[in-house]
Amino acid sequence: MAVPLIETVNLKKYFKTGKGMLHAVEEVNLKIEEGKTLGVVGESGCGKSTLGRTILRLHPATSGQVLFNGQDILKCNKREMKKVKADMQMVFQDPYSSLDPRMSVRGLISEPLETCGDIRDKKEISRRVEEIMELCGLPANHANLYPHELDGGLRQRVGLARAMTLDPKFIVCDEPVSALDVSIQAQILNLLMDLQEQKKLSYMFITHDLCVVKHISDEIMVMYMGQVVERAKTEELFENPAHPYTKALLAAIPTIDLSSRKRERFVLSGEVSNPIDPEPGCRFAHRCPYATEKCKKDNAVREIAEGHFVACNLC
Amino acid sequence: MFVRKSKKSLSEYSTGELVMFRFRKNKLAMFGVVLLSIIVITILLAPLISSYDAVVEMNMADRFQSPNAKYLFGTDEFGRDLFARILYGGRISMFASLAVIGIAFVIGAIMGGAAGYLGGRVDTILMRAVDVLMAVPSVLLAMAIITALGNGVWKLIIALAVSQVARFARTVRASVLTLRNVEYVEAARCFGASSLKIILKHILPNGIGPIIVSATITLGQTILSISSMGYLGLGVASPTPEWGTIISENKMNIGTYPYLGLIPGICICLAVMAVNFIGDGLRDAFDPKTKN
Amino acid sequence: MSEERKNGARESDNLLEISDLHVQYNTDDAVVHALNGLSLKVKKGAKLGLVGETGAGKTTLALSVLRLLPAGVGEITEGSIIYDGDDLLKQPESFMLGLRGEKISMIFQDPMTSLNPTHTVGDQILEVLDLHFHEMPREEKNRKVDDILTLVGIPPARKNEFPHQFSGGMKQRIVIAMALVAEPELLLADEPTTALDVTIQAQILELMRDLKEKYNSAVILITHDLGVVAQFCDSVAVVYGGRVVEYGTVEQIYAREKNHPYTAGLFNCIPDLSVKAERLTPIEGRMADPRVVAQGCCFAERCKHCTEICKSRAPSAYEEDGHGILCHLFTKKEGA
Repeated sequence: MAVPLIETVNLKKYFKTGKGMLHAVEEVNLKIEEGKTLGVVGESGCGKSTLGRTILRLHPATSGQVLFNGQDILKCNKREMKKVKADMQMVFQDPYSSLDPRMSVRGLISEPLETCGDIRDKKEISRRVEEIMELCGLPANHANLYPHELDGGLRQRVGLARAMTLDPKFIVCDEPVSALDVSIQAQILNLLMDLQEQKKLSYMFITHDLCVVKHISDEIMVMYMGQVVERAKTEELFENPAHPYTKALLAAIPTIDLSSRKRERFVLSGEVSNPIDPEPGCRFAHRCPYATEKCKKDNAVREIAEGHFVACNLC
Repeated sequence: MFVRKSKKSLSEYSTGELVMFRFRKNKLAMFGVVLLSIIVITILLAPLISSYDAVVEMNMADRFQSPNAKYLFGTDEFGRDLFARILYGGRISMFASLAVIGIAFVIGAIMGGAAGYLGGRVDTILMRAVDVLMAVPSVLLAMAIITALGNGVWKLIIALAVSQVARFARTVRASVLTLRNVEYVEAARCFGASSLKIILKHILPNGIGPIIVSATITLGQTILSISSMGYLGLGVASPTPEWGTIISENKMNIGTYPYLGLIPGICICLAVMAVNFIGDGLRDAFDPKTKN
Repeated sequence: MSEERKNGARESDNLLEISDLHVQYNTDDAVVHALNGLSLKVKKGAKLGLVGETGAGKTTLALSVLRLLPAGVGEITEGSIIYDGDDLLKQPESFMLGLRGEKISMIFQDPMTSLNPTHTVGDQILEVLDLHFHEMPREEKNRKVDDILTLVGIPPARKNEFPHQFSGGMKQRIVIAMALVAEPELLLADEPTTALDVTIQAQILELMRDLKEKYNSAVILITHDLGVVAQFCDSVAVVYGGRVVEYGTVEQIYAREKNHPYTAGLFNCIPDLSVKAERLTPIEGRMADPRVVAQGCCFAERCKHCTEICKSRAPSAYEEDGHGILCHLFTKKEGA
């Protein structure tokens, strides 16, 4: 097995709030290999975005390790970090708020180069910008336009182009298609997959949309209130979901398949609360129809099949 | 939402040029610029138009002359040329206000910027200090400072600047706070931009709108405050002319000779108005969403 | 068209009948044509899904029915909206006031902003009753509020709480309670689940299904999500460029045998859970510029099957067993 490009070891991120400690990310262990995509699925507030940002050191981690090519980046000093940052980029959800409205498309794409690239020559920079724009399917005559003059799909291409300028190896995609219309969504997904193939990129693809995540991911991790409840290869997860929460999520997807219309579905009751000073054990226990007393004490992660990890006592 | 059918001429402009372009299309703002230019140029050229002697020279024979060819704005009870007094008085009103805004802006921006971007304890300490300043009415604060320091133009400037710092600190902090966690700032942090660079390149240009509007409105108010202080006999004392002081000197005679109050009053009004128009125009011009 | 209208009049089970509706927004820069001859029929008790992307005119349609288009900007230039025999466009505002909330009510997309944060949720539901049922005694109104809260799954004891004390899903339940308390004949639900998580979305759809059965109101579900429509609706209308380009029963449309090229494109854009596709086939290009009214078919620019006639002439409706498609591909076949 190859050395993973990205690996986290017991990564934790807590936030101090007025009401107590918010356990946003709890002991996450994941591995992403070169050229692969890890899909991170969960509902709002489950810590998936925080996880992505903590891996990129946009938030300081509370404890644990983030290994990039075997090197713990949480221990890097400023200069080393600058190098690592060029290899790890992010694409944001909202194509409206993720682009500085005062900068032209060219300015936005060239900014990373000017800030921390090795290229100083102006001509070289503008050649690189053109190259990246073409790569991301942006017409060359859009270089002088401003974000508000573009539609959502084009904006998201600019966001992707900006992430691509430094030739990264790993990109955290935080709900990159959630804000887009379906027809545009498909364009961006195709673009992401093409780039991955050409550049051997690794993605961490954060989303709440299970159809999209199935389409793009090699492996999927399901999170609930900061805990990873299940992690498995995509086909394995969709064929043999083990954790009750994963099952509920899969059942809740409104599919275009009419045959599932009449079926009695498993609708979860209750709602997600905040993991502020949570009780030990499984955080899904209060909504889980199968929960036992033991679930409220611990939920050790077990490997139930090769590469299929579940944090549930009953599976 | 839609790709503009871009005219080549427009897309060739840089951001700064576009702001100027939009500003110039705003008629009211341009009117403000013209008005303010006339006022400022006239004031600057004052020594060429009239000597300073005319300001203080008393000519009891020409008391209470209504505006005429010799005395453009008439004369006051001591027969001093009102036109000359307003010219030289305007220098103090206008430049003192600018100095007040400049000082208050710089101190306020540093305080507010630090509080907003750094957050935590720095924020708490700075903002509590601001709260204390805000708790005292600004005119009262300025009066207290002047009483402590004594009269004088520079002391007046310092007094008013201190009383305005709080307002700037708050405005700057608010815009830094809203922009600090915006995704494009996070994106910049992602590719390793330093905090200073982020503040200068992303936060300041995007947050400058409300700050500029606040600065110009405060400029208008400061012109008024200096005049009110002058009227109250604080800061600039007679016979040194200042628009507020001039009204104050003549307050006994305004009933009989209204031009003595009207003319300096109109001057104050026009200056404040011009400044406000420019402020509004700038705010609109800085917003890239306004139509070209 | 006249024949269609006659048919409509005879079929008295049509609760809402919109024909040839044109709506434009007169903004400072340009006239934006939001609806360009939209026609739609909704039967009593129907569950209609109105599908379309951003800018297709879905929300404009809902606002037109309620006559709540932004004053001075939105303008209905042509067409009619017949509700239960009355042309709403010809009625005075007082008539509309009686209609809104009582006969027709609307659920907005964002549950966070559609509740007033300064009133308790109980008072907000009560207000709807106060507005429409003046004679109803106080006790009965209070009882109705308790009933509806129980129905949407919120303990009536919580009616004295304020909106911020509820979670997103709960707020949407309250919004639904407000919309249903007057037992309307028609419910316009504008993306009611878009802001919610999947498991909560499933709960809300389940709830709407149950309530629909109880009150037998007609529901127009406005959404961009073909999956939600498949799970909830009986009939579908696909909107593009301010026109209904395809309508029919869910079975007819989701059979994917005969579809408007746009609907077919939409289906191809969705990653299918059951099949592992390597690539998606997106619809090329982007939404047509609503400032320009297309001379031919509004989808022509993006259509794979576009021919000369599509660019020059607007297609007329082709209909078979209540399945209508607005496309030259089908009208030609019929003619041959």
